[in-house]
Amino acid sequence: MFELIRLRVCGFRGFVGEQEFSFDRPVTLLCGENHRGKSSTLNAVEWCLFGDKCIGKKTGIRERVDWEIANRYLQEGEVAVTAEFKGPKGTYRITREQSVGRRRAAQKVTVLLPDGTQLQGDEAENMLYVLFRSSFQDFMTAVYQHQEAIRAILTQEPRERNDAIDRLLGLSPYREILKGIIGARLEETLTNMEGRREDFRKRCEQAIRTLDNLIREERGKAIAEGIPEEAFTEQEALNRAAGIAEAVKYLAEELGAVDFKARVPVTFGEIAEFREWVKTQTDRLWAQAPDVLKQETLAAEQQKLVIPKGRYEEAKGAETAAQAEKDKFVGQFGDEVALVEAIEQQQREIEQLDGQIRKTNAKANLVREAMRYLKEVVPDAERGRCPLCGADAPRLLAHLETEWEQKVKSQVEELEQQKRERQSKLEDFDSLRDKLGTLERNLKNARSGCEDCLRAIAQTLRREIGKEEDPLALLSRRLEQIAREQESIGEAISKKRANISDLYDKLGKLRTIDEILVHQQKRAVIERVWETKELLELEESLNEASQFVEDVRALRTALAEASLEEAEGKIHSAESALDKYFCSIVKHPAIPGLVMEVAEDSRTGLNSYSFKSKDGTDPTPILSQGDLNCFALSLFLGLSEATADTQRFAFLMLDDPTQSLGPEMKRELVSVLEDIANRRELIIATPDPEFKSLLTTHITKTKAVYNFTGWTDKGGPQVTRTMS
Amino acid sequence: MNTSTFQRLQQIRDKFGPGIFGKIAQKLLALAFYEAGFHHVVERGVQGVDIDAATEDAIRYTLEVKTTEGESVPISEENIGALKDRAKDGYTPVLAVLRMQMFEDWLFAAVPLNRLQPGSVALSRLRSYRLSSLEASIRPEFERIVNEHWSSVLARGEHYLIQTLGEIAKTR
Repeated sequence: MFELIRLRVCGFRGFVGEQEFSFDRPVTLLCGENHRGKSSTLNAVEWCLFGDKCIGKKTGIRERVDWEIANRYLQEGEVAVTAEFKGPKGTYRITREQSVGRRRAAQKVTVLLPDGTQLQGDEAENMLYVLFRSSFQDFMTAVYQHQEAIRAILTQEPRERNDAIDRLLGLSPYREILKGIIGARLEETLTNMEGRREDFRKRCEQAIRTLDNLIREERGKAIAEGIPEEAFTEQEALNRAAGIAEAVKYLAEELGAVDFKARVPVTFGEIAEFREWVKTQTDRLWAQAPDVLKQETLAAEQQKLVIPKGRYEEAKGAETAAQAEKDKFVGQFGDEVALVEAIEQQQREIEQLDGQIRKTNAKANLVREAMRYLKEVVPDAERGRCPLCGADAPRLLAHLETEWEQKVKSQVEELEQQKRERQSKLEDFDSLRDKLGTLERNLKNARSGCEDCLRAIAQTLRREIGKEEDPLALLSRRLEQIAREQESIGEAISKKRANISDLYDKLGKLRTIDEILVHQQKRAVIERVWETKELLELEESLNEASQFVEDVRALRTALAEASLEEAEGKIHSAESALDKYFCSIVKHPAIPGLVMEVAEDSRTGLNSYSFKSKDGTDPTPILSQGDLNCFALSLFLGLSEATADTQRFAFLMLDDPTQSLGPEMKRELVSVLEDIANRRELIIATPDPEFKSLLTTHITKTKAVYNFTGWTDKGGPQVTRTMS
Repeated sequence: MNTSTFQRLQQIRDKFGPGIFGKIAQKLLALAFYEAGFHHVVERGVQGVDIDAATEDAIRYTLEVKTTEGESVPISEENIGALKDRAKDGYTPVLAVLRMQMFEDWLFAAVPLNRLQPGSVALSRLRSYRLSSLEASIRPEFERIVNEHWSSVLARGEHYLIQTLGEIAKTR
């Protein structure tokens, strides 16, 4: 057994300068407010023994993830912790050092044995294990009760509590590995790999099905075209290609091509190119054949003649119509001369009427003026006399009025009527003359159109057309000649065309066979993909991945079983002490005793802890935070009791054990500690004055009290020691 | 498996339905074992493990045959029990699974029986226990057997294969 007798701390976490602690009494109390360096003192012992093993995520303690070893206010120098233990052969001194300012600085460990042997590095680390036979997890479980353990137990979240109890039982490594396995999602990865293979398989299947449909359709079509089933072979396709090549050669000869060289495909792969070649060559031979060229020339000439013929017929028709219209007009209204004569006649008659009107108007003016004079100028008494000669004219005005009404007025009106009639006739004749002019212009234009067409015909026929010659007859004669020539060439051509048609038919069948065979080749390629080295390697990779997942699954099962078994063993060994301590401290009237159980979480494989009252009831709903803290303390104390026989450390370290405990619980805890102090050295850190008071007054063993009274960034904790 | 072989199997399944097809596939597989040189082949239509197959040099397999279109097969308590019983007699217990999809083939997996739980077993899990050499010897024979008997099976169904297996058994 190793008793902790001295601790020297320098630059470690809360410490700046060097501070020494002597553990020369059965009980050492580290008292003071929070953040004064009490926990750093206990941590220093832990770090001195375990170094990096007590830092980081692997500890399972969340607070340790970014743990700072060197005091953050130190600029240079060394962090150094020296712990001295009284062991079976004397004093053992362990020193761990690390440079300041480097987060991952190398640590230096030195172990000085009672015989003066000094070990360093790996030798020193090995010696630590040989001496203490304790892992960091064991130390956490049975020697050093961490504040963090209590805090985590107090949580209401089952997963975190399970984490904390595993940690308290020293099973964090199992838990971390199991969590790592679960987090790796290997099964999901394997499923994804299989999914991608399946996607590829489906794509291949889809391609095969599409090709099968195409082959089926093409075969049906081919059979309908008279291609027999046995023709769907590469050899048959090559035979047919050779036949087509012969036919092309014969066609070339027939069409008069000289030096034509036919090509014949040798392999099936050349057939597609051969088909294109046949099409190109056939088109070229046909286009260059003399008969075809002649036929095309005749067709072009025919086209050239047909157009002016039509145009001439149209122009001639327009001329005839214009002439007929003019003739009809002249017959109805006379020619230009007659119309001019009629216009002049009307003009003369109008002039005569104007003269008569002027004369009549002169008399009318005289009568009208006389009447106005008699009415407006001559007084009524003198109206019976003539205003010129003075002779009696008793009814002069009445006479004049009668004359005006009955003779002069009607005469003027009649003359004006006659004049209007003559003017109307004159306008009609003018209009007819204009119309005649229009008809004559139309006729002239029609004739001009005919002459244009005639010139065009002469140009097309490449000859002069005399006035006595009928251009339409000339055109018809040439067109008949062309038709005869075409008929003659057409007979020769239609035979050759039939040969080409036959050739195209053969080519079409070859294309059908070729396409079917190409589809079949593609299909075979897809099938072969599944026999390729790459696919077989992929299959092998999937097999290996599956094997790996299966191995990890087995490992996970084994780890879960081992973790569960170890948890059950530890709980079982600590069961009676746990129950004893819990009942002593809590004294809960409704809980006669506490039983802890563990089972495997079927989903995760992790340990899942539950509590049961000894009477079988579920205590969880009535457990207070203080009760849970007592449970955590009882479990720790129970485990340390259970391992007491094999434990190399003769001391227990408790950090702030009274969180959430009431006065009564604190008193009971002190009683329990008084009992333990008979067997183990106790080092207790507490900020609780009440608990300190209880410890100093109720623990009967002698005590050293370190009071952490203050803390400064320059000097670190201010510590005084008193004896009790 | 060749796609044309698969399509022939598909025709059989389409004609007889998945239940009868499973029995037909089992019998075709038994014939393939004969062809692959297994002198002793027992195919059980009803109780027990589906096929026992042994060579003269004492290689012995006991096969639980499953056909599926999906990516898993159901394994019952009875299946596992039957395999365990035959394993006691020195037979290697094997799950023989034919996934009825194009490009898939027989998968023979010697899953340790203590790792086999009743329920659905993913085919991806069976990969790790594949008997590759057995697959390599049986797969081509199975294809040959399908192509040889396909038309008769289509015409006469499972009965034809019962007869064929019976005749072979008599000659051995």
